[in-house]
Parts: sequence; C-alpha cells; structure tokens
Amino acid sequence: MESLGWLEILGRMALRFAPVWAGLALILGTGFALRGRLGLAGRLFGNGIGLAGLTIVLFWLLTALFADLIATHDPLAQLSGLKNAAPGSPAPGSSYPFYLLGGDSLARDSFSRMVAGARRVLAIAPAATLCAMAVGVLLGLPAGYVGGRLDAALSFLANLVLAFPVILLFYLLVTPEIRETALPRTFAALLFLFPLLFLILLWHSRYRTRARPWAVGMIPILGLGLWMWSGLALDADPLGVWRLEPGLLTVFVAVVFVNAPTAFRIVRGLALDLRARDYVAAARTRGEGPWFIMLWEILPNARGPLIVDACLRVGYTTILLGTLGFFGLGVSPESPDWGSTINDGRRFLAIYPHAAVVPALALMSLVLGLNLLADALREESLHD
Amino acid sequence: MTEPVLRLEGLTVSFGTRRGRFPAVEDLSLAIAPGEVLGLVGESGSGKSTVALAVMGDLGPAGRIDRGSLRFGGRELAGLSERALRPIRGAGIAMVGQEPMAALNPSMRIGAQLAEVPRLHARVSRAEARAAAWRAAEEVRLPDPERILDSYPHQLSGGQLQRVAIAMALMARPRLLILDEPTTALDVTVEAGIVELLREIRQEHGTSMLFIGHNLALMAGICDRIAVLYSGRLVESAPAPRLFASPRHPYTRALLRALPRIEGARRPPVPLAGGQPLPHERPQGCAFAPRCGHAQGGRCDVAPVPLETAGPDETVRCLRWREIREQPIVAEPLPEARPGPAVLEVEGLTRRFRTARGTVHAVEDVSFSALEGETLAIVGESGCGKSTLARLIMGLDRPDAGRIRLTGVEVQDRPAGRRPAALTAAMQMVFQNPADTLNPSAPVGRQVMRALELFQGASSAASLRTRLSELFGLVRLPESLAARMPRQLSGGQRQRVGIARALAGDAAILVADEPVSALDASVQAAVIETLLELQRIRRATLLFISHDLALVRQIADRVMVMYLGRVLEIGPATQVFGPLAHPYTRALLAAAPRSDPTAALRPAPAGDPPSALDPPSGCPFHTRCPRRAEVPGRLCADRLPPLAEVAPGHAIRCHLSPEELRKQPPDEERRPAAPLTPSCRGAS
Ligand SMILES: Nc1ncnc2c1ncn2[C@@H]1O[C@H](COP(=O)(O)OP(=O)(O)OP(=O)(O)O)[C@@H](O)[C@H]1O
Ligand code: SF4
Ligand code: SF4
Ligand SMILES: [Mg+2]
Repeated sequence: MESLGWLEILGRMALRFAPVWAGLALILGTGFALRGRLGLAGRLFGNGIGLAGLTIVLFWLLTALFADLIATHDPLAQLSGLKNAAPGSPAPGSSYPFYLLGGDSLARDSFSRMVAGARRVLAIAPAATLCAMAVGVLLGLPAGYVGGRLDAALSFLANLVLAFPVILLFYLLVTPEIRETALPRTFAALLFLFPLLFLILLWHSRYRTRARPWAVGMIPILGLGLWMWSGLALDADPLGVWRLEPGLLTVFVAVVFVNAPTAFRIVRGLALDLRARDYVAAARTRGEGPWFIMLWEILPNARGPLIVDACLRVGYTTILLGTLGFFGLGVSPESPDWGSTINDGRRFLAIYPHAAVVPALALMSLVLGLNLLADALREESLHD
Repeated sequence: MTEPVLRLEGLTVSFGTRRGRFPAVEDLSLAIAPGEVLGLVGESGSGKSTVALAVMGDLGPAGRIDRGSLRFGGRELAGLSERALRPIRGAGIAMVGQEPMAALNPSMRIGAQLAEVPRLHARVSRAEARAAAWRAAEEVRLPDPERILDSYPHQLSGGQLQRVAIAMALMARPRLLILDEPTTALDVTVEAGIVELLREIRQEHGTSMLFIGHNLALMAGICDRIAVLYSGRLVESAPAPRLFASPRHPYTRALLRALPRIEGARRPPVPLAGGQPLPHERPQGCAFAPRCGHAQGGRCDVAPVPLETAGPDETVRCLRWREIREQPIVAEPLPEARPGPAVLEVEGLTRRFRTARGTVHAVEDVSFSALEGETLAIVGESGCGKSTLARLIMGLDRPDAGRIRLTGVEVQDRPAGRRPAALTAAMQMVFQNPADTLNPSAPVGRQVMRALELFQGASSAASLRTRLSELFGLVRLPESLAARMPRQLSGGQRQRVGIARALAGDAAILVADEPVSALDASVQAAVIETLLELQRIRRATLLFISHDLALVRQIADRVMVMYLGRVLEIGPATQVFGPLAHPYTRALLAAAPRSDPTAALRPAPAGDPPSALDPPSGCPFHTRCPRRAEVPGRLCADRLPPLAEVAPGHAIRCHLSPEELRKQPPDEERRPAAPLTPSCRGAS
C-alpha cells in the first residue's frame, strides 16, 4: 500500500473527528440561538476571540468525550515494522489501514495516543482545578470576610506552600518512599472533602430554616458525596465505581495542593473587597449566618473573576500535568498523556519530529483556547 | 445682539450599543451669550452630560453627532477632527466634572500640575508658570496656597480638589466653562462655597458657563437661564426667575413641586409618578405624556410635539401650555406626630477607629432616644459620624463605650446575627446606595422572600408568598418586578425593594441612612412619600439620616445635629429651625440652596470641616464658628460646652446662653445680593 499524502491525511483526520464536528455544530448552534438568554456565556458569541477560544476548548472536550470513536488504534498497541513510521504510513492488518500521524519509537500510533491523551488531560485538569477552587473558596472566603487572626493564619499557610519550589514539591510527593506512606491518601482524603463540604454548607446555609427543601437537597449531596469521596480518596467504594489509580491520585493531590494557595489568595481578595457592600450589611442586619453571607451574598458576585481564573488555571494545570508527564512523574510509563508522549518523542526529535510535535501542538492549542476564553470572559464581564 | 459664545442648532447625538444606535440627545438648540450662565437640568439619563461631551468633542468611539451644528464663537465644531479640536478645547472651552480626581494626576504635586497649563498653552518660563499657578490658587480662594500647591491630590479634601480643578480650567482663560455636576460629590457647606466662587469668577472675568445639574435649587442660585431636558429633548427654557416663578411645561412644574424646599416646613415634596423613558423607548407623541396629568388622548400621543417660542428667550415643548392653569399643588402639611414611649435609647455611645495615622473619633459620647411613631432626623456634614452611628445601632459595628437599649433590652454587646430574632426583626435598615443595597446576582423578589423566610419562618410557603405581594404593594411596586434582577430596575425601584426587605419582619424602627440622596428629585419625593406613609400607617419610628436640610425640614419631627462625632443640638424640628439654634445649625441652614433665584445670598460657613482624626479641643466647631468672638476668653477653644437644655426637649451644645443665641435672627446674616443681573453680560 502507498503512504498517504498530507492532504489525504488531513482529510482522513477530519473524517475521524466527525463526532466532534457534530457535537460542535450542535452546541455552538444552540448556544448561538439562545445567546440572548445565556448572559455572560451568550455574549461570547459576539466576541471573536471568545468564540475562537470556546470552539478550541469545546473541540478538545468533545475529543476527550468521543476518544474511543476517534482513535484509530489502541493507544498502547505496538505494530511491528511501524517504529517511528512517517505520518500516513500504511498499517496493514490492524483496526485502521494507516498510522495517520505516524508511529512513535515503540511503534504505537501517534494519532490515537494524542486523542487518548486528550481524555486523560481533560479528566484531570478541570477536576483538579475545581477541587483547588473549592479549597480556595472555603478557606479564602472566611479569611477575607472574617479577617483578623484567622486571615493572618490562613494567609501564612498559603504563603508557606507558595514559597516551596513547585517542582521540588512534586518530586517529594511522587518519590516512592513518600508514596508508600499514608501521606498521599491522607492528603487526598482531606482535599477531596472540600468540594463536599462546600456543597453541604451551600445548601445548609440557604435552607436551614425550611426542613423540606433542606432534606431534599441534603440527602443526595451527602449520599453521593460520601460515596464518591470514599471511592476516590480512600479507595474504599463498596460498589467499585469510583476509583483512582494510586499514581494518578498522587498527581491529582499534588496539582490541587499547589493550585489551592493561589486560588485562596484570589478568593480572599475578592471577599475583602465585597464584604463592605451594603447588601452584605443588609444580610447581617437581618441576622444571616456567616456562611450564608459568604456563599450566597459574596461568592455569586465574585463569580466573574473566578470563572476567568478557573479557565486560566485549567490551562496552567494542563501544562503542569504535561511537565509532570515529561519528567515521568506520577504516571505509568505507558500512559498516553501529552507530557509523557512529548518526553518519549524528544529523543528522536531531530530525525522523527512527529512523535513529539503532535502532542506538543495539542497541548499548545488547548492552553491557547483556554487563555483566549479567559480573556474574552474578562472583557465581557467588564461590560456588566 | 452679540454673537453667542456657544450656539447649538438641532444637535442630535447618538450612541452605538450592542443592540443598535440610540439617540441620546435630539434636536437640541441652545445659545449661551457672553458672560451668561446657562443651566441645563434633567434627571439622570436625560442626556445632559452627553451635551457637555459633544461640546468638548469627547463622545468616545461609540458616540456620534448625527445632525445639527455646534458653533463656538462663530466657528463650527461639529465634524472637526480631534487635532483641530484640541487647541480650541484647551484655550476656548474648559470643563470641570463631578470627580475632580479624574482631572488630576494622583502622583504629581498640585503646583506642578497647575504650572503645566500655561507651559503647554503659552510656552512661558518655569518661574512665570509657577507664579501663574500661585495666582490661580489664590483666585479660587484656596486657603494657604503655599501648602496646597505643595500637596499631592490625595492630601486634599473634596472641596479643595474641586477648587483646584476649577483653577486648572480657568488658567487657560477659557471663554466657556462647562460644569458637569461640579458639586454633586460635595457637602452642602462646601457646595455653597463652590457656587459662591463660580459667581465671583463670572463677575470678575465674564466667563460664560454651561452649568449641568439635576438640583434645581442649586441652579437657582447661579444660573441666568435654565433649559430643562427630558428624555433627550429640550422641553422648556426660560430665564431663571421666570422659570421658577411660573413654569410652563408640566414636567418643569412637577420638578419644582418635587424639590425639597428649605422654606417649606413640614410639607413633604410632591412626587412625580413613573420614570423617564429612555430615548429609544419614547412614546409616539409627547415623551412626557405617560406621566403628565394634563395629557389628552388623541392629541398629546399622536405626533412628536414641536418646540414653541413662548416669549423672548423662552421656549416650551407642550401642546397645551397656554391652556394649563393650575393652582400650585402643595402637599398637605404633615400632621403633628403623636410620639409614644421611647423605643430606642442610646447613652454615651462612643466609637473610635484606630488607624495608621491616629485615632478617628467617629462617634463621641452620643446620647438620644427615639420615640415610637416619630421621624428623628440626624444631620451633619460628611464624616461627622452619621453612618457610623447607624452601624453601631444596627450592630454592624461594636461601640467602644456606651449603651444601646432597644425596646428596653440592652444590645450594645450583641452584634447583628447574635441578637434575638424578635429584636432583629424590630429594627431594620434602608441603605444609601441603590446600586449596592441589593445583591446584584439574585432576583429582587427572592431577596425579599429570604428576609420573610428568616423573620416569619414558621409560616407556610403560600402565606409567605401572599406576604411578599403585600410587601410589594406596600412600597408601590408591581409584583411583576419580583422576577427581575437588580440591574433591571431603576434606582428608585431598587430603593423600594430595599424598603420592602426591611419591612419583612414588621420593623418598628427603620434606620434610613441617606435613603434618597443618590436619587433624582422626582424619584426622591416618591420614595420619601412611601417611607412617610409607612411610618404614619404603622406608627414606626424613622431614623432619617440625611445631609439635605431642606428635606429634613420638610419631614422631620425632631432633628439631631452632629459635628465631628458629637451631638451639637437636638430638639423638635420647629425649634431647631427656629430662632434659637446652634451656630452650626444656622450655618448649615444658610448653606442650603434655596429654590428661588431672587433670594438673597447667604454666606457659607468658611472652610472644610476639620478632620475627625484629631478633633479640635474645646467646642468641636470653634475652628469655623462665626460667633466665637462673642464668648469671652479662650473658653470655646479650651472647654467642651455641655449639651444643655434650652427649652423642653431642646438641647444645644454652646457656651453662649440661649438669650445670646436667640439674638441673631436667621435673616440678619443675609447680605445684599450680588448683582446677578444680565448687566454683566458681554463684559468680556
Ligand atoms: N472602618 C473605619 N475605619 C477607620 N475610620 C473610619 C471607619 N469608618 C468610618 N471612619 C471614619 O469615621 C468618621 C465618620 O464616618 P461616617 O461614615 O460615620 O460619616 P458620615 O457622617 O456618615 O459621612 P457621610 O455623610 O459622608 O456618609 C470619618 O472620619 C470616617 O473616615
Ligand atoms: S403635550 Fe400633552 S402630554 Fe405633553 S406635556 Fe403637554 S399636556 Fe402633557
Ligand atoms: S461654643 Fe463657642 S465655638 Fe462652639 S458654637 Fe458656641 S460660640 Fe461657637
Ligand atoms: Mg454616611
């Protein structure tokens, strides 16, 4: 069989991404039709940069979602004779007749690895960001709102974590000696508790005066939350649905750990600014508790900057994950995540650039998309 | 007739927004003669600032002059490029805005900034520029020019900054000075000083001025002619005395009725229902028709109403102005309050803030009680501790000393949130800033509902909903607004939602901290009406904090005057505004603008209030008191006078005896009116 030309490669790739195109068309079309009612998100459609960012991010999200449909090969399968194969090389006798973007040094399909890598990156980065934001919100709000000694103590703690070199911290967290101790599990148990705690406080402070809605919300929050928590953090899910492999858990904990202090600082600053508002004073004079004020009066009004920050943070986390993978930290050597793949490909960069360039481009475009989105969101939220 | 300094002819300005282009000002024709002061008045959103920006050629990328001409000294400005406009703007037209800080560079000394102006325009030497800066500072009556020229902007008070901004504008000797709400951010006393300064400048230099504002009473004191804008269109223009004596357009009449009048005791301002339509939502015929009491179906709502010439120099845009004969409507005088027992007692309340620069004595040894069913007004200049007092009472802040008894229960040690639910519900607060009083991210109905849930948690969901619609009815808001977000409501509507929220627990005491000071006069009158009605119907106690003496005089039963954290006077309103009053109260009254252009001028109290950071020893007012000389020796400077009762329920803190205080009737302070007649027109 002949190797494919570049045009043909692109054409075939576009075809493989068909589910993504369909999803994009559906989401963007609906969004455009409803843009008048979507508030801030809707206004992205009138903003060129925002639309570009949204499209790129959605593209990767959908790729992650449909990875199984898009990938041409098993990302771990090796085909003899296709070691460092050029893009478009034929791959007879496999699930797809070509290695669209060539093979890597272990004769695996670069295209499929990139697609599978998207799934890994987009499973970890947003979840880790949300977790870090939950920690930042739950500690930053009281620090900013209550102030005083509590603020001093929490800020000191945050600075302590920030003062520690990130890479060193990672090395420490992922060294086998430390991984074997109970430290990562304990940390995970603690950090994963924050999102749950956030939801509980949110619901309780709002409905504490009314028993019915209180129970209606609290039961699923506690049930689902504790179930997920026991599975993800303690690896003790009785049904076995929620679990995280230990290497990934460590990476996750490390990423949340370094992200939390900066999230804390942002939330604290916003709370400090918003606590002097009249509506906060009004809430206090009608006897609201501090958590209601923090979560229902202050937090919703800080959402603009926090959403922008979350976008940037997902991008930053993606890069961080890449860096970790690049240094081979925390993930299994087989893992198709973009960082490790770049690292694997780097040795033959001069001769066979495709193995490293493909995941590098993927990483770059995702981060670019996130940054564009953040920029547009910031700009649009200023118009409020 | 001489060539006018500025002539607008059919000026139409529009702004491009996301949803299309909307006219902000339509078909506006105006002229300002040399030496004349033209007042441009209108509610917020009427397009008055747009006029100023158009004249300055500063409309920004979204704004555009669609039609019409804009001639300055005979030269057409519309359509000129930015480059061509710049020299004209600098030398011929100068503008002073509401925020003097915006015109100044925060990191440069005042002197250097002033000296820059002549160096830019006339290329003079450094020494000459410095001398010019000095002269300019003296010209705007800045005290101690040496020190001020050497300060940075943040070291000066708002009034001083505004004087610097005016000095800067005047240095280029402009022929036209545009003043866009130059005193809105200032205290009445400081405002009176600025207005006096502007009058002097006009007399000395014959500078023409375009004075833009929303406060008709203030404009009465300075403008020769007044033009009224409504929804982007001129509705009436006339010489000031004529306009005040016999307004023609129904809108002007309504504005004048809504104006708090210092001379009208115990007659609340008359509100004007409804709101001004945005220019693109204007009804087909007369824009004012939906709110006009004289509107005739089939006549007023058919076609746009043309502007008619009603006399020399007088125009009016109303089809029926010749027919309307209406008796001046004045509100029913408020009935005498029948106060009950004391519901709130405050004793020796003190709050000091320790800051990096020293201790601020925000509230010092304040004692008073508020009775059931009365309106107690708390007045004083900015920074005198009114808001701090309100926050202390509400439990938003803890006092350093003193007692607060709420219906007999001591609450000074219980911050808000720790007070028993019944006491929390009994006293609620209405806040000043309509933009800030409601949570911007929740529908307004839900916010009132939340208060209901807290205060009446035991009731069923259905009865809470009934209660919610009752509350909305009580503050005269259509229930359909409940689903809106705060930003979709006007300022007046938001204030009403705030009042509804405060009433959720059937509050017996309402603390209102400047509830209407951020609102336009007509809206202000409506909110006041709502508050008073509630107070009368429910016999609630209203603690009304305000700096607007005219309004206080119209609605308060008792008045408490504060100065630098201390109570200087407290008593029944009739007495406090009567012949026997504290010298500071007198000064405040004198500074309040009168809505009568023919009224004689009164001198404003000199200087800004001293800082609460290190309050003067002795009588806090002695640094500005005009009557200090009458007290023998250094008594005023050394000893704090006691708050002594001069009549039942009326106490004054002054070393002068009641007889001496009474000696000076309020009108004696008047001095002959400065010649404000058009005789000085064309002097330049
Ligand atoms: N939290 C604080 N820390 C330090 N100083 C404060 C604080 N709150 C108020 N002050 C100071 O206390 C004094 C009284 O302030 P307050 O706000 O009570 O005045 P006010 O009469 O309400 O003025 P305005 O008319 O401008 O609202 C001012 O000098 C103010 O700067
Ligand atoms: S034209 Fe008619 S509606 Fe308009 S102000 Fe005159 S009377 Fe009122
Ligand atoms: S005590 Fe003296 S300074 Fe104070 S108000 Fe009376 S006369 Fe003026
Ligand atoms: Mg205040």
